[in-house]
Amino acid sequence: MIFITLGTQLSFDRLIDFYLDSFNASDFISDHDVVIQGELSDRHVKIIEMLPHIKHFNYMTSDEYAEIFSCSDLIISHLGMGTVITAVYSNKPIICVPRTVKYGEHRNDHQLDAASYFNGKFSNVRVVSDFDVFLIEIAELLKFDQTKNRQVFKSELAANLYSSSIELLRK
Amino acid sequence: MDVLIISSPGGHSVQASIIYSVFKDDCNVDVEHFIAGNEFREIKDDNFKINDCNFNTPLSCFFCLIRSIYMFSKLKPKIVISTGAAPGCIFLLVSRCFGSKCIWVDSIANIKNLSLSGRIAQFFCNDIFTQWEHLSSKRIKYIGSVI
Repeated sequence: MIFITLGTQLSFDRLIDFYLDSFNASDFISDHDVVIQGELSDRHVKIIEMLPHIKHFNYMTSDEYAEIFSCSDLIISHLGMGTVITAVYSNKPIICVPRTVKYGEHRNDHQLDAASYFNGKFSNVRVVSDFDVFLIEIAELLKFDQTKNRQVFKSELAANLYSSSIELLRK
Repeated sequence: MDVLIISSPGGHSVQASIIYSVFKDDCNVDVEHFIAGNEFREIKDDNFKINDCNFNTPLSCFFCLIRSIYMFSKLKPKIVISTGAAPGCIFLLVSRCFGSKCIWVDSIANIKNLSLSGRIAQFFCNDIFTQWEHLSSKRIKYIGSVI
């Protein structure tokens, strides 16, 4: 199953177009069932109603989200930090398209700024802005073995915050 | 209460819950994580619902301020940590006025400069942390990131 998540705040038509175009372009993508979380434009709602392999939810509780996230073979999302961090901690293959101000997808370009940092830093995280690269990376990531090279992530920040807080509480 | 962690939903709450889980491992620490805004429908207890807001809508910030004062008086946390955004900033301001230790952790999303809430929070918080080494200074410290 492929999980497409758009975050909680804004719609992201370009990402849905990327998926729908790739669905038409290649068999290995059309084989997979899809769950979409987030708000869609009326145009996309109409298209998706005709495609029985896609389920769409405007809103999910965090438990529902976590369950679908852990069941899926691939995550397609915007470059939202929450989604990327969750994918890094669970070694889940994820392909991210940064939202841009240019297309009215966000209030600022912080997702574009983050793109260069996240691309290549983690083997399961790919950041793309271009449709052709999107197709290539999807094909690669669908072969990704989630159980291999699994790292246990420990946040240095959280550990440091914890130890300094304990010191303070003991005083 | 020892430690209260407060955040907006989405990326802010994912980062906050990573910090929360480290505190939660120590059963001697009384710690809670509250998420402002749309996820409040998952919080059963009416006392701990706080609305999400941003600095473009002053009225929502005012409601958030009122809720923050109420929640603080119920919980009286010794340490308050926020990963953002505006509701966390407002809650920290209230907490600071009542004498708690206040810590701001700027979101990892802010690569080029500190968030607006972070820039406001640095005037009254005890500690300000960025998750990017190149943004650190004497006042804004870097002690690692969530990933």
